[in-house]
Amino acid sequence: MDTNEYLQKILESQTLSTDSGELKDLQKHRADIEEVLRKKFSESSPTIRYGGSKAKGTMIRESYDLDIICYFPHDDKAAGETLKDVYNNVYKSLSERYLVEPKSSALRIKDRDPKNYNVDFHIDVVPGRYTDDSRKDAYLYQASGEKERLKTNLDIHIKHIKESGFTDAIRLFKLWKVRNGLRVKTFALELLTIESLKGSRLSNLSLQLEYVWERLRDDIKEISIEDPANPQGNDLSDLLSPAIQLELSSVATKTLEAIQNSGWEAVFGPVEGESKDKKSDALRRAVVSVTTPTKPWFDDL
Amino acid sequence: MSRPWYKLKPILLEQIKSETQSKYPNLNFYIENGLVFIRGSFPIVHEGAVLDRYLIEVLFPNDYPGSLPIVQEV
Repeated sequence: MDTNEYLQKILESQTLSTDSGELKDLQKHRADIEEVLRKKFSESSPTIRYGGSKAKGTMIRESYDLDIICYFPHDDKAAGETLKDVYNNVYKSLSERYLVEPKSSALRIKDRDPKNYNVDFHIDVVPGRYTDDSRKDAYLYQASGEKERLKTNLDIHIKHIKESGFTDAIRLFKLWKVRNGLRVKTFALELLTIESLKGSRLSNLSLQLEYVWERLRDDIKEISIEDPANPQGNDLSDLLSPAIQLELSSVATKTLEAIQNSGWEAVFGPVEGESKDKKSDALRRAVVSVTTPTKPWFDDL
Repeated sequence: MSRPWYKLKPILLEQIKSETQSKYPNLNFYIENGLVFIRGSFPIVHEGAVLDRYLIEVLFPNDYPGSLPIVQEV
């Protein structure tokens, strides 16, 4: 198996098939959440649809979150007078059924059933309000940050990523981010990947990855990213702070060395194809088979 | 203020780094605000197969190795 075949296998193993338990669970929760929102805000008839990696085609099994946008018409006041009211009212209505964790602009949905209390559904609901009748640009409330609102455009984001020609590379970079515990935001990593590869004319996946890692290692300070939905208005510099740049650069350096010394499996590991259910069974068997627990300390300190 | 442990015992840090990364290459070391952290995914391996992965952060306290590192899933 050559490098690109290996990378394709990794991508396949990270694809949530339509009949997978994980995707079915997500779709069921999405339907339930939509029902709650439609009932509560029937007067406003919000637009509820997929955003994020599901819509962009960049979802990976190892770390999948479903973004559901819930945008209200620009002249609607039933859902709330201000953007903050809209955010809080969506929060309250979802809290009647779920455990809801407020994030900067989104609301993280978790189970409040005592049997599965705090179990994460991997779903973020993003409330917002369209800026006008065209239902394209929208304002999101921002609980943190300099400005209390953020102008965005879901279709522009989706188009920018989906039609970049680099979605396979983006999915592998997301896996790299998760495996290495990198704190860079996925959105910033997507933009970094596209910005780095733009104009490179590299069609070979392994060369694309190595090229981006080389840029992260050598030119991280030279790469700037901008929000395609609002290039002048949304400042993304915080997403690439000096600490994040250092993290990206040092792990990119280590990754390139690992490829050089040990090959690609040192980066993404062996191809793992088993379903979550099969893995859970194997995990249970492994727990039963461990008779001598490992000591959690060194002997020689 | 006393010097951080990793400056007093740089060999110990290198030893921990080398032992950790030889077995868990996705666990990365960072020094932030004078504290040593490890971040990355920790694989649960059984009979050579990765059964699951956990994203973890390990913080080495200032008085390490006098105190134990603090591990949390992030």
